[in-house]
Order: sequence, then structure tokens, then C-alpha cells
Amino acid sequence: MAVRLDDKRLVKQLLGGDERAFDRFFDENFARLYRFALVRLADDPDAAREIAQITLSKAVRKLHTYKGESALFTWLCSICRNETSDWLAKQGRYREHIVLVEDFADVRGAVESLGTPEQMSPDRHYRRVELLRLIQVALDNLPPKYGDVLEWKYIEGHSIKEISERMRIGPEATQSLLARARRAFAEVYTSLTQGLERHESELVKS
Amino acid sequence: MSNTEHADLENLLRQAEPRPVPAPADVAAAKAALCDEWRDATGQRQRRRRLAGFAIAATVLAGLFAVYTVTRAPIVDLVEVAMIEKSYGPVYLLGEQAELRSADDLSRIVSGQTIVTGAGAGLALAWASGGSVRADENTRLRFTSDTDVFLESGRVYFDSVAGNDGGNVSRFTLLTEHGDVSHAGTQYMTAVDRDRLVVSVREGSVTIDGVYHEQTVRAGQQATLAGRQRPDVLRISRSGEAWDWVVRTAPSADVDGKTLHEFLVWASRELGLELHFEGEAERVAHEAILRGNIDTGPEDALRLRLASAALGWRIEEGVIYITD
Repeated sequence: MAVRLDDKRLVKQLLGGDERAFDRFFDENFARLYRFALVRLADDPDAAREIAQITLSKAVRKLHTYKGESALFTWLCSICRNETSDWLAKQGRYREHIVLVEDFADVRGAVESLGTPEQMSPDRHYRRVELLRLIQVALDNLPPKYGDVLEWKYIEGHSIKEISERMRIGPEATQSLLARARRAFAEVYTSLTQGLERHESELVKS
Repeated sequence: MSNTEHADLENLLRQAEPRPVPAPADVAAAKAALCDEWRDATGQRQRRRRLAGFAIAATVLAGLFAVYTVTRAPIVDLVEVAMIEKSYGPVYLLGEQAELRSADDLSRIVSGQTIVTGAGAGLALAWASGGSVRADENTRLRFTSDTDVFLESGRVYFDSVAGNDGGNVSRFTLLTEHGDVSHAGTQYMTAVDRDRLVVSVREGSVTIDGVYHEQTVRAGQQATLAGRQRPDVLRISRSGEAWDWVVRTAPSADVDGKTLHEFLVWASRELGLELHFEGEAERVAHEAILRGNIDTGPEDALRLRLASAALGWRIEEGVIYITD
């Protein structure tokens, strides 16, 4: 819930014309929306960039309609999803429409409801490519700071000291942030993999 | 989270590739474009909120007026916002039933009044907090408060220095349906019609807080705001035909007991000209003390005053040269 309060505050600041709020809004969301669109557009970087920009453009014009009922990024993703569909339709690429595990309603709901973390149970036999992609999806669905700090620490291999300097916080605060980020990641990732398992087994049955 | 789970998680994350990111140049371009759109969007919202505020205020005022008409008791303290210094041609005051009443006997304007100038008319007002407001013919001005005037249509000129002997900072903002025009010590002209707002600046600078765009206009520039189009800014002359009506509406200067130099500074500002002295002319102008006032426009007054001081003058390319 704290995330949404923060999102609501950010939107309020944006509506009030706060330039720093705009910087934060753009910096936290543009690259994430780009990646959100990228996988849905068969890895077309130009189209993904265009869709991300159109999404944010539409969002700033309807910011006053955001009520904090979902996370701001989720709200942006819903706009982005529609824009992606429209773009594919205009390109005559209906058949290329890509359905992703994170697009299933129940998985979206689980990812959206970031609550108390449960035990992580990743399916170790999962296809490697999909598993790696879901890690990126999970990182993008975390609060931006969490996603960044996990990527810097475990994927890019930066030290706590380097991350502290980059975040402009102390080493202890960085450790604490990492711990919270790990718990949040575990929950989102678990939701994604469980959702995928469930839908794959339904496909096998049918 | 147990140590094993912690280690599993770290191993899992270490297998991943960094997330793809768009090129920095693309990000910068997208951010700049979005920032413009965001500013437009929030500007519109603030405008809508302000208009809603006006609507609420208007409703409240209408209610107060209804109570007033029933009780015949004064409800709101009216504020004197300006004094009429000069007028010619048909000038009207908008009545309570939207009828036009002659403003011939009017000497002071209070908040809430609307003044309408007819064909061939002109009006000069001394603004209460300092400065001179001029209205051209076919202009409709609503005096909303002692700081704001709503220009419904026509042309208005504002000079923050003229008639501002006390060195006050004139509090004057011109509101229009296309945006608000605020000054920073200046002489400027604003023209409004249904489609556009045109602001021409002689001296200093003004800021336009438009419905769709913000624009700063500096001396010698003219900005035109028309709907969503980007403001069109041109270089203009600070004197000439476009400013003739401003000269016609200029009230006569009270120069009794002042130096000829002070009079020349006033006249050159009114005419939109730079002042330049040649030979001994500046010394003569400082020493000559004027007696009495002449009830004419700046150009005629200039000719008469310089003739009596035995000084010559000529105007060349926006400069008035005073010669001995």
C-alpha cells in the first residue's frame, strides 16, 4: 500500500507542475515501459521506444484520472498494452500478437498485490530462456529502486560500497534496501513462475 | 528467508542478463518531448482549475448580488482601481442589465465595472498602484480587482512607469481568454480577438501564461499566441503606425516646475523613441524649468516646449535628436 501512496503523491506533484517529480516519473518508467513493449513487439527496439513514448504521452494527459487503485507502473502498463495492440493492428500483425505469462489476469493480480513475502519455490526445471526473461520481468515489476539495486548487485556485480555511492545512501541502508528488494523479488518471481506452470498444465490438459 | 533460499535467489539473479535499455540519445529526446507535453497538460489543468475558480467566484458574486438587490445593503467593499485621465469618443460603462451607459461623468473606476470604448474612442487611466493603462477604440475591459484586468476584446497598452512618480511597483496583470500577461517594469500593448492574443513590447519584458504555452516577450518583440500553435515571435519597431493610438490616448504630462529634460524623457517614452542630445542641448534641457501645462499630445507638446527653449529636434530611425 505504501507503494501506491507514494505513487499518488508523485502524481499529485506532477499535476502541480513539480519538475523533480517529472524527472522521477520519466526516469523510473520509460526504460521499464520500453522493455514491457519490447517483448510484446518481437524485440523491435524502434517500435518499443515509440510505444513507450506514446504511453507516457497519453499518461501525462490523463494523470488526473489516476486514483491509486493500482500501482502507477501497472496503470502505465495497461495503457502500454493497449497501445501495443493498436500498433500491431495498424501494422497488420495480429498474428504476431504475443501472449506472455505476466499478461494472464491472475498473474497480473498476484504481481500487483505486493504483500508479505512467502517462500520462494522456483521451478528448477524451467526452460532457461523463459526463466531468464521472467527475472527481468520481475525486476521491472518491483519498485524501481528495488529492481535497480538487485540488478546492480547480482547481475552487474557492483559492491555494496559502489551501490551506496550510486544511491547516495549509507552501506547499512543499502544492505537493508537489498534485503527488502530480495523479499519483494522472491514474491513477484514466485507469482510469475507459478502462474506459468498453472497455465502450461491447463494447455497440456486441453 | 533462509540462508539457502537467499543463496538460491542470488544464484538465480546472477544467471540473468542486464535488462535492455534504449539508447541514451533516444531517452533524452523522448524525455524532452514528453516534458513539453507534460507542461502543456499541467498548464491546461491549472487553467481549467482557475476557470473553475472563476466560475465559483462568479456564482458566489451572483448570490451576493441577489442578496444585495433584496436588502439594498452594501455587501462587498468596492475598491477603486483607476482614475480616468483622458478620454475621447464614445466611452461606456456596462450596466447591471448589460446595457451600455455613457461614462462621460465617470472619473473613477471601481472593481467589478466593465468599460467599453466605441468606434473612434480612446481612454487613458491612472492605475491605482502606479502606471498608465490605455484602451484603444472598440475595446471591452472588465476591472476584476486592483491587480487584474480582464481584456475581453480590443487593444490595451500598459506603461508601468508613466504617472508612477512614487516609484511603486505596479501590480497589474492583464487576463485574457488566451492567457495572462504579466509585466516586469515595462511598456507593452496587448490585443485580443476571438482567435489570438498579440503582445508587443516596447520596453522591459512581459510574461504570457497562455492556455497552451508560456512565453516571455522582450523589448522590440511581438508574440502572437493562437490556440495550440507555438507562439510566433517577431521583431518590431517600438514606434510608428501600430503605436499611434497609444500616443493619441496619452494624457498630458504635469510638468509645471519640472525641467525640460524631465519633459523630454516623458515625451520620448510616450513616442517610443530613444532620446539623444547633441552639443549643449542636454545642459540646456537640465537648466530650463517649465511653467504651466499644455493640454496636447506628446508630439505637439514637444514641438512647443522645444521652440520656447530655442532647441531643435529631429527624428531618425527610432531616435529623437535634440540639438542646440
